[in-house]
Amino acid sequence: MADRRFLMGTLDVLLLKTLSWGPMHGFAIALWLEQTAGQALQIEDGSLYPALHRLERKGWVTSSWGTTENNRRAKYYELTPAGERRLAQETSEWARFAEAVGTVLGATRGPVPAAAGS
Amino acid sequence: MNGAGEGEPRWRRYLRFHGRDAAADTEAELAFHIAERARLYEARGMTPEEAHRTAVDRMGDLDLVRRECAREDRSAEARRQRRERASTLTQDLRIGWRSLARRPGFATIAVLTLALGVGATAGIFGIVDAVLLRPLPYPTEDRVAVVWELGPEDAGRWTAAPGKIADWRRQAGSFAALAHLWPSSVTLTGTGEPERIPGVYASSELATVFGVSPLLGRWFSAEEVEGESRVAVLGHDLWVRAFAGDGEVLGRGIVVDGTRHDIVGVMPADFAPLGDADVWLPVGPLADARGAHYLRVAGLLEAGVTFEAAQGEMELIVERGAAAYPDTDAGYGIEIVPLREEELGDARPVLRLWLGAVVFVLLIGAANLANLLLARISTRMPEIALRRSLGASRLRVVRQLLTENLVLAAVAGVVAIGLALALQRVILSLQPGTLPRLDDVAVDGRVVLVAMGLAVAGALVAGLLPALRLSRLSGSALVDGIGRRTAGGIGRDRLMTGLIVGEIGIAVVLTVGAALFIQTLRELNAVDPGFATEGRVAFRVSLPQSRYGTDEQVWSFYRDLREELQSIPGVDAVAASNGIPLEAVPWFQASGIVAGPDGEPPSMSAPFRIVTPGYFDALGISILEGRPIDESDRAEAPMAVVVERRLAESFFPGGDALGERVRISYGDLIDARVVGIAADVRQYGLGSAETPGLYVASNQVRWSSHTFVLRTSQPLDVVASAIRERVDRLDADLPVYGLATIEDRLATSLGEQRFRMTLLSTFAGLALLLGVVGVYGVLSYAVTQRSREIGIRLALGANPGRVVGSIVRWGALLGAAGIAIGLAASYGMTTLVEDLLFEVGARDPVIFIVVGVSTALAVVAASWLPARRAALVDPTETLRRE
Repeated sequence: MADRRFLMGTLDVLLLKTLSWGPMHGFAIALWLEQTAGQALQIEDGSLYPALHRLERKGWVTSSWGTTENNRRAKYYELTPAGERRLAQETSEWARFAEAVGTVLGATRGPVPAAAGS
Repeated sequence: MNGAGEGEPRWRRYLRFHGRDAAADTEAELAFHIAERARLYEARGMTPEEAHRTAVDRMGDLDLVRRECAREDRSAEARRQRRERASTLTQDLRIGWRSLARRPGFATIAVLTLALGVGATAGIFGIVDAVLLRPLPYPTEDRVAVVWELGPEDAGRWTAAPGKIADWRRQAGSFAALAHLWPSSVTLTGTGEPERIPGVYASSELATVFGVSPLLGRWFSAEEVEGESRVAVLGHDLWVRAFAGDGEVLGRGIVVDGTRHDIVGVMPADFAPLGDADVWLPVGPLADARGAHYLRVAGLLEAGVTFEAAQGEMELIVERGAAAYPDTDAGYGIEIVPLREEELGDARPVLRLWLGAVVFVLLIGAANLANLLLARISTRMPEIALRRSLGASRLRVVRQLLTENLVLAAVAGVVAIGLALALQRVILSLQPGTLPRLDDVAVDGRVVLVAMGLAVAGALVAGLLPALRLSRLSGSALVDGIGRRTAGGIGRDRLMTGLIVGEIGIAVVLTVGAALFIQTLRELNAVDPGFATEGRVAFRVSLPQSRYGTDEQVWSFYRDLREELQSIPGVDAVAASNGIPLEAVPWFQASGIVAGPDGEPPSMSAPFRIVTPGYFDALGISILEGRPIDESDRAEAPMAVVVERRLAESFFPGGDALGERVRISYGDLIDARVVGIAADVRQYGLGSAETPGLYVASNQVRWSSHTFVLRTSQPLDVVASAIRERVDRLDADLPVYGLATIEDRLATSLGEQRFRMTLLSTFAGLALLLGVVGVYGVLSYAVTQRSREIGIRLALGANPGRVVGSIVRWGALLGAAGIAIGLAASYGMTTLVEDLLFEVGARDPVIFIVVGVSTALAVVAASWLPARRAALVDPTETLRRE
């Protein structure tokens, strides 16, 4: 994975965002991310789980076992109030970061030469 | 969304049942994912095997995933456990707080009973700590030895003679340096009002011996001491007071006893070797005299030399001296005292007494608390049995009960710190100034630590027995019906009984101690001082050698001052002496020798009192025979002496002393005639052993410091300004000092005794109060417990009087046991304070009886109240309640 560090921090936000729609099991989360982001984000299915367990340890999500539509036992994750706050915070940071990067990349004028004393 | 958790509680319950095997949990979770993904591929037409393989591939490194999940789960579990433990503690604390708050009466008594003992102990500890435990402000403390001569015939410690010090310095190898000093007082002029200040004439080694460097400048050199240079080293106090702490003070001058001295150094604030001083001056070359004892000596031991070794060496030197100079040295011994012992030795027995007293109060408080908690067992039983039946372990119950006591300890600790502070304030304001280093007393971190530690220890110890007892309840006790006591059960609890007896015993010991000190003070107050104390004002003047060098100058000054003072309105008699009774200033010590008329060997050593005419009248000292010293005893007249009655009786046994000739040694041997016999006077204090003395006329013997006594009906402040004004008229540079009424001096001389008595009585009163409250508490509780039995007895026609009688009898029995133990313990212990008593035996039977009887009365009174309540029990009411 070329940019693992970038992805790790990002993955947490993506998971929190996904769970903001309601409780989901890991596979449902994977499906939603695929559908939403398409091929742009290459996420290994396995990497979701350590991330989910980490979010649970931090108290941003909780988990419990339940049954799916076709009656299979699955572990569901749900956003906690602390997780919601975290998501809001991360989202606004992302927006600011993206805007800054966008401004730099979209710049139309080069650096102003230093004023000469003459 | 079916199945998703709906809130914390369900999730927690889930974790408790399934959380144990987190690995299996993760495995199932991953398997589900793979199965679902494979299902999707199958739906797209893959074979089951192909679909499964692809699904597994998409997972990535499965082992890594498992390991990372496991790591997260472990730290999550650890966190959860930490939280659970913390919440158990806060839960216990909350329960504890609630159960205390529910019964504010019980809580208040429990907190106070503990806090009183802890507060008193912590407060006294703070004083002991400041006075005894902290190091002295001298880096060489452990190596400084104070050297005393021991007077002949067990006369005790004497100051040293200069001729001997020179020998010691030459011969003793134990000391790296030996310093000598002469504590005195000097007159300071030129810095405002003339002032009499403590001044010490010292040798050049003093600062070295005590390991202290001057704050500014230097100590004086050996050459300056030899040459009696006019140099001075200032004490910190005087430097701040007279020179405003000026850093440029070196080289400026200071006028001491009318002579200018150059300031060469300033010492740091706590430098006060062998006594406080405002100024140190060179002591001058050492005289050869071996018979005049007036110097204090302190030495710095060579590294590695012990105090015992120094003592041994000095004894050899003294023996050699006695062989070489039998006339002056024979019979003298020597004693090496470690500095710490010298400075703090006197404070130790008194502080030990206080500490013992407060520890007793603390023990009573803890015993009382244990009893309160034991008594409360019955009220807690249903609750504890319920918790046990719901599955709480025995350990859990004990822990919870002890945690409750921690809440109690915390509150008591805080209250105790307040009490400690208050106690210290009171002690500092009442203390008569006999303890050193009291300025450093404060409620600091150490005191807070001791208070909290004692409170926690007390509460836990007191709480442990009841907690263990309660935890023994099984869940089934609930079914058996607790709360229905069998008659007489807990009421006669052996543990509670033992605690109460112990409490009374300790209270009795303290009360006996207090009574001994009360009796001591009464005996002291009953002593006839031999002089009048009311309507007398005294002050002291000291005539500097520089301006009052001749006999005539000194005598005429005294004469003129007496006349001036006589003219103050309201003053009807004035006289003076080199030292009046109870005077704290250093005055002429016992060194006069009375010899028979033919000059045969000296047969008695007696203190001189040099007095002006009118002295006996002004002080109200009776002349039993002959006449007092009067105006006729002038320089040219034959020397007259007035002897004290006891001196007359022992020196002239059987015969009449009046008119007898004696020789007195004052520089030379002088022939004198006994002209009168005076009543005995308590010169040193009401309780001290007295050496009988003799009076000579101040017009025949010159002495440059005198204390004037005025008989007047005016209050002190009115006379005071008049006195200053009259002294100013004669000599504006002469300070008036030690101005006080004789009544005040008497009160001061009894201050230590009164203080000791007050403090001990307070602690004893506290102990007795706690003990009596304990008796009351236990009996009330027993009555409540036995109300059913009492109710039945009353219903069956028992006489209420007999019910009261049986309970009071039980209380009296407890009291009798406690009193017996207490008196027996007192019999063994009061001898420890024997040295602090006056005219009272440490085992004074009257005191023992009085304390025993009054304690018994208090115990019976405390039993009577609950007993009366028992008699008022309504039989039908109690029986219905069951």
